[in-house]
Amino acid sequence: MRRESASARRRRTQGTVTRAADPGLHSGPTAPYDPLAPGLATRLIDAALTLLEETGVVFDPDCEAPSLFAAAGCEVSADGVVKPGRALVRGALDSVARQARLWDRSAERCLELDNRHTWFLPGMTCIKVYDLASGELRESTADDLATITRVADALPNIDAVCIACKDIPRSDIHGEIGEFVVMARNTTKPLEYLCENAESLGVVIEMATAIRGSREALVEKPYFLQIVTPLPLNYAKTHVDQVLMAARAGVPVSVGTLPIGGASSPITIAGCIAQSLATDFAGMTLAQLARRGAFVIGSSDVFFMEPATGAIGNFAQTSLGDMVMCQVRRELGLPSFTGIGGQSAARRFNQDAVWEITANLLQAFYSRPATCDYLGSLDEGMSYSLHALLLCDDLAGLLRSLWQGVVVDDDTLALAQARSVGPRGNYLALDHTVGHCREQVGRHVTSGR
Amino acid sequence: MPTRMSSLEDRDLHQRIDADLRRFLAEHQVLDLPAAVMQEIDAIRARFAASYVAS
Repeated sequence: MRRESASARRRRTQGTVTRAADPGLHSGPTAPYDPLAPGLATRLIDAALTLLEETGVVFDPDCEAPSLFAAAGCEVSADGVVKPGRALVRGALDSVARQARLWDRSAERCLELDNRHTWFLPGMTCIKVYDLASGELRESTADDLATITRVADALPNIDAVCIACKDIPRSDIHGEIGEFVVMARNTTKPLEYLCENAESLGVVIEMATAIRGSREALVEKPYFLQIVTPLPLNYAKTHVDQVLMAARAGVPVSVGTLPIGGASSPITIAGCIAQSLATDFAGMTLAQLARRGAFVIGSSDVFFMEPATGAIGNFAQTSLGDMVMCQVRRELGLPSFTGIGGQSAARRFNQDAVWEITANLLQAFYSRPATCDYLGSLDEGMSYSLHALLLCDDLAGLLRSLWQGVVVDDDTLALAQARSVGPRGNYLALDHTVGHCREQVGRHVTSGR
Repeated sequence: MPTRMSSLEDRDLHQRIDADLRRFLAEHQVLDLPAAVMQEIDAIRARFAASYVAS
């Protein structure tokens, strides 16, 4: 029979949150890493506010956003350029909800969406998969999404499910609505959803209401997080409609752009981040104008053009950008839905992919995003690999072991055992060794077990 | 004292992951949504499909 160690007993009796009780918790035993010197995060935030004030952000004139901003006293041009003042944006950053809960299908267990937890999800919207029978790359289908979702349901360190691949044979509004149904039928875990059409979100809210039993139950225990992805400083009608619809329905939202530094945004990390933050703040302000206190969080991921090829690349810039984004959001007290880890530019699951996925996912030990939702994506987001997802699950387990930190107390220091064993003995047969030898030891496929 | 690696089957990372994946694919089942909920979802989709085509 396994013995409970003294330190484990003490933690339990003191009611300390343990890994099993709260698997996503990273905060506490170890500290996040802030790459920026004190004051520089504030300067980035200030630059984003200046961008909004001076350059402005485009909201499609054929939607509700310009009138909401005009009613709030903002300068709005006829072609939809809005210049929100910093007082308005600051007010929105103050009133936005800083945490929310995402509940599983049966509304029994939840994920805390805040800046103290990290959650892992497969994703996101790949258009090809590696056929499990032939190993060949082909277009993805609804059946592939069902298979990936079911495997994700089985994996111990995957907490929720995003649309890993698209239903390419049905690339229309009905297909993207169907993707939600496929996920709901193949996992009991909470969901992330994203769509091209705002009408799809309306239907998905209705379907989630049916699963919960009532609109009130869905508001009380949200079943999915809506992801909205505008262009840098440019919100199309569908993005505005989705933000407003979700905010008013009590659906948690992650709204952010995917800038490519050097193409759609400045090439420098600071410039790309400032523009991304401005895009985030614009969406968050819009949501607060619709419903004060809504959980609508800016979540831009920053990417950069690789100058030799023009493709997305530059591991160092992307990693630094992600770490800085997480630091800035910590400064604002917000969760950062920006985990870039778990994906690779490699075309298939090979040594290149293993290197890149391992490097970028383990970076989360330091950066602490609230979600990592690109797990299993290859070929710059085009192709999905279940093998890559299993590696990510394993690495997520490793991260969770690391986040438990190091317990330093009388029991773990083991001075009493050292006195007993003396300088020439060994520790193999001690109860102390038996009691502790399985702590922070995962069954990691990466360890060669 | 045998080391961990030498006592294990000689399989590389991809082989170990593939074996785990095949096991999940063969064994893991998920309970479907209740029939009444599925009926409601089908009705929602049908209503939307009809109205979307009409518009």
